[in-house]
Amino acid sequence: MNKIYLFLLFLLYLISPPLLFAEDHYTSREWLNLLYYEQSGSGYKSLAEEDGFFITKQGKTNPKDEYEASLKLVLAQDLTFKTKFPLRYKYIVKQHNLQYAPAVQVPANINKVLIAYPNRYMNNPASMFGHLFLVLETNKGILDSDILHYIADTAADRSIGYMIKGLSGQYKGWFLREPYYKKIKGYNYVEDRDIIYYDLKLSKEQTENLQLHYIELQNSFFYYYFLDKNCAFFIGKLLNIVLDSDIATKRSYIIPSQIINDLFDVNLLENERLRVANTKVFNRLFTGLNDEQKRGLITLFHEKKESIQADPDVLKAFIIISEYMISNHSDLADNIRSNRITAYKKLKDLETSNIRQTDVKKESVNRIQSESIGLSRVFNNYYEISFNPIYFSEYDHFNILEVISVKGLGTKINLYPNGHPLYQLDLVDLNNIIQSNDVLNSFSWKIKSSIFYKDSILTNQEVYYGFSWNVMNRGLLYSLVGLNYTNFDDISEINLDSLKLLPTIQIGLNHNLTDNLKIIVSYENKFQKDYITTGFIYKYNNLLNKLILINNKDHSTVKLSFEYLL
Amino acid sequence: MLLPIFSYAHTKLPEDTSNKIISFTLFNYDNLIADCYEKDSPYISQLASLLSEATGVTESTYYRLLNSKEQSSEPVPVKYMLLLNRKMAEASNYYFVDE
Repeated sequence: MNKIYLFLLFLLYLISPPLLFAEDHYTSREWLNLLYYEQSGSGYKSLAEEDGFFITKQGKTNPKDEYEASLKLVLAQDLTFKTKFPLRYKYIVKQHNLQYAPAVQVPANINKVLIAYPNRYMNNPASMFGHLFLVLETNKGILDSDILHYIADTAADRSIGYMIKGLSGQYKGWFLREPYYKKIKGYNYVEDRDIIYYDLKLSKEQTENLQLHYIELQNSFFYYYFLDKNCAFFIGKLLNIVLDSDIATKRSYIIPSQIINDLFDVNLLENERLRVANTKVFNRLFTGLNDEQKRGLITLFHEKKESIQADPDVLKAFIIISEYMISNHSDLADNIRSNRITAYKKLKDLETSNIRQTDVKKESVNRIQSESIGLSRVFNNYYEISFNPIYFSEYDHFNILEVISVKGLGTKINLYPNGHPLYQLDLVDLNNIIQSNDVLNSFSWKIKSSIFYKDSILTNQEVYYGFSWNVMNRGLLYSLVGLNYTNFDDISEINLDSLKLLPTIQIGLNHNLTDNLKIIVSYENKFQKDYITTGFIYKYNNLLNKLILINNKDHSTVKLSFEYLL
Repeated sequence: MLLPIFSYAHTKLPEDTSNKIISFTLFNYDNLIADCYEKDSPYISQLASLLSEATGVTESTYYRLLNSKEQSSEPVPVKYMLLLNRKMAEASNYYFVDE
């Protein structure tokens, strides 16, 4: 009996040797990545939601059955399988040394793959941490290229609705391939965000595999979760499939900068370049104009001119902002387009070209600073230790005037020599203090939500709204009004009698003395008290040094702090 | 009703190709105009390449056409596209949109 059994086993080996060794492969990193399997209890579960992404009924939770069934189709050179799942086919063929006869070809003209990081966009909670997309650049250049990214259909949901659905995974998301020029128009001229580009160090084969896998992705969607299964996570998962080792692993939250930094850490990025938002360039040019020039520029938006008398500085500023204005004020598009041509002709007569801004090449690739640790000393009072696990600081580009910062889950401990410590958790701390002028009439806002513990639980919730103005391209003057819902004065660190809704006024000036030294001055009426704050902020590499003096009628406080941006 | 005015003498490009040209032209109109006056002209180069690939006429012909005074002075995107349609038909006997 045993002999017959052994003979049958030998026969099976001769007929179908690869099947005997399938076991080695279905738990491989490559196979689990290809089908988006994640550890679930003692087994696996794929993040892909469509049945069409699997060839067996239990494929979503059973990588083994899925592998064995796939292997059978590969052995049979099944055309449908090869067409629908070309990278799985390629992978299985390679594992079993089978003949590779692909049914689909991907374009061979992809020269390189870029990863693009449009940074924070404060008008949409989904974009506050930035976005990530890949660009498949052809040998004809970037305008001939496609982008590849993961997007969720959040409909028109904003704020609370978006947060609830986003946190609970109620949005469907897909990988999408679309022309680069279409997507970039939105970033450049509608939202006008800074974008950082990097070349990804991928081999020809890895680039081909990326394209082959995109074909497979047509067969499924993936639920979007705001914190840990978002665009950054899925771009990371997509890259895991073609890279030699994983960069995106399971975390409690994931943001685009982490993927960029992960790629940086394994030396997969090169040629960093930055495209600065047109509005920033325009604000600088506009502030440099005199009143008459400013009036002349504004008429170019509202009146169609046969000839333009304006000087080159006005024309350049007008051209820089023209596409943004066309995209955001369609009623002005006819005038702007007509005057834009006239302006260009005049500049050409003056032999001035090269007005449109180009990407700024960086000398080397840099990590994105997204965390910070800090130590402060409040004289005659306490020491403060802080850690911000999510912190996109306004000081990453120190001499930029705008204060656009995103902080999440910031923690602080104040240690008093005689008394209990104060614990502070800043759930969110968002600042969008941006310039307003006669052309870009943008409003500024701040939101902060903090919880404190010192013998009892305390809270301070802030919402401010207002405007800020450029002062000679060196400073930013701001004026905000808002409300605090609080039972804790977090400036004087005094418990209030009860939870109160208190109005607040803030007027301040941040002024750049040099490229790495700022002076700040502000007056605020907050917690029904007047506070005057003055201070200096000095940046040395990634270290921020702050010396701040806070005065109110009862006392003065001097705070010296050091914060390291990671 | 829009009449296919070119149909008696010219051939319409396949739909896929036509849509690609229309989309690129309309989406990038402002940059195509800017290219005529700027130092670099990546959008014109890309469109010239698309048109050349579709019609077999050289890229340099389209490069000249897109930089012509008439084309670079047209302030309305749709008219810009239709002007290009006619100029392309003259240069190649192909067109991409019925007028």
